[in-house]
Amino acid sequence: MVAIFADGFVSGLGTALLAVAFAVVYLPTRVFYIALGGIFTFVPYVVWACMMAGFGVIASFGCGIFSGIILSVLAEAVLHGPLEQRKTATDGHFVCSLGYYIVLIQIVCLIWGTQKKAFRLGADVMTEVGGVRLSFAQFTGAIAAILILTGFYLWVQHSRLGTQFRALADNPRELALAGRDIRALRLLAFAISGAFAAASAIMFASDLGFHPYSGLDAVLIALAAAMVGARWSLFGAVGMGIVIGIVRAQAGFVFSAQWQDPVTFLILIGVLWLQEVFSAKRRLEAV
Amino acid sequence: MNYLLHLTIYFCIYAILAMSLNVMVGYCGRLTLASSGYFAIGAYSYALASVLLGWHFVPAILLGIIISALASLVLSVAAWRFKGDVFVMFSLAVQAIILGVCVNWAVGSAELGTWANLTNGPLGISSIANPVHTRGNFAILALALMGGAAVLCRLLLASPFGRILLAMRDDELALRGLGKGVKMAKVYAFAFSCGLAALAGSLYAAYLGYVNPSVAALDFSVLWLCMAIIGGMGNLYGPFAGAALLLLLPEVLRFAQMPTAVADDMRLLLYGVFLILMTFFRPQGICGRYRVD
Repeated sequence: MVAIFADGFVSGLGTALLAVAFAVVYLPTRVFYIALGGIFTFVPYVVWACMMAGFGVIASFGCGIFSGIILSVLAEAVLHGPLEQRKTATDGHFVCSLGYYIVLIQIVCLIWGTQKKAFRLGADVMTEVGGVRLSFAQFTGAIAAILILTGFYLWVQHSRLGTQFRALADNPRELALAGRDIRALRLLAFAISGAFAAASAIMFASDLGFHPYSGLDAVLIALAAAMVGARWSLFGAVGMGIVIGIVRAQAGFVFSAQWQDPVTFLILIGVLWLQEVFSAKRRLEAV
Repeated sequence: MNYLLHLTIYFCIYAILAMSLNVMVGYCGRLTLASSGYFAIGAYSYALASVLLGWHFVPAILLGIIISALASLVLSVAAWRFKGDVFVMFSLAVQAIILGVCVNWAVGSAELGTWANLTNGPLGISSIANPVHTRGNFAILALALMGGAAVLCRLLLASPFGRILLAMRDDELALRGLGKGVKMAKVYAFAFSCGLAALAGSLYAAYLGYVNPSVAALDFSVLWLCMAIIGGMGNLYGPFAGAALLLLLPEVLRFAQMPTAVADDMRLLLYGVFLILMTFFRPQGICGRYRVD
């Protein structure tokens, strides 16, 4: 039981990273950034290609994260930024993001094929932490995720740029009126989002392997975490991501792995309803 | 000739689906990713009614439409409170749950059609009855159903009810201010839209004679949403344009001597590129009226 919990916690950390990646863009821009699924898929292939070219592990991971940042910044610079200037509504951004997602996935299929791949050959080394057995990839992934999330929390809470970033997430219009460079901050949000999605992709790919269609499933679960946990707060996504990871592991243990998605989304529906029913009453025009 | 008939049948199925999405997205203004779920409800209902109960084509199709229309209540009640991104998320959740039910409602060796095994899990249901025996006749049947659906859409959407839907899409608050029943309008429109998706699903199951959970996969919802958006929504011509494009693009690529696997990836790649270009240069799609921007 403890092993299942630990497994869920580790995978929840990966989901939390991805949920924060989504929330970092969603809160300030209201862009439903489904293209993260494409970035999540693309990055492990870049890492794998670097490894095949003889790069070291750290250098390959670095290239992967850099490619995630580039792809995400490209999304803002070429797609969402210009659309924002045209005052496109959220549905338009969603459709554009969906298009970008499809393009990225198909590029992966055309270049690397549709076969499942892995960074290593054979089974992973097992390590024991406090009586719980974890694979080496899980253990290092969890440590990296905790460090990244803690670093991000400290940066957002205590740095000058982090404060501006929080303000961007809370009220972008007010920040623009205060004379801040919103476009630069938006680019930064997309860059952070790309980096977090890449880190999460590497974490999952190291543990479970990867294929071109793994991105959408992972991102949808992260979206669920972000929509429920981070509709009003950046770090709600972290908590909800971890909770979803644990619940999915338990659902897989009690029922079967195939019930994980229905259970996750049933909880999502339930929480969305509860949030709506118990939230403060809004004016009719605000609904 | 056989291949042309095959394409015609698929065109009809896609066009009915696009009409279904046209009602939900183009007229109600709610982007949804649950269409493959309702398509699957139609396909499975038809399969179970024809294989287990021995029902004929029309009652089996009607059963699928009724079940799907009832299941649409989950979405329409959600639409009372949610819109935009949250509604998209909600539709995604509904789709995931329907897919989960299709995959999981089957226990080991239990007989198909019992409460322990209603969908036969990943194996799916085979030997589904085909109402006609030749492909030509099936194409005529599919064309007739598509034509019927188009006439029904035209009548419904040109009626005062259709104008209420348009007004609801453009300014729900103003419509409520005028004392119109917005909630029930959503219920009826969603039931109609999901019923159409179920009709397409039933037709698909009857044509192939086999159905498995992959019909409820999210990829299909995404693909069909692309088809509807690229074709255009908010009128009756857009869905036909979208369905034609979905069908003709692979043929054009095949004509360009591309290997089938590459052509399949290229087709989807072009769909993605079209979606992006549409958002910038023609948000109403090829011949639609509703702009998704």
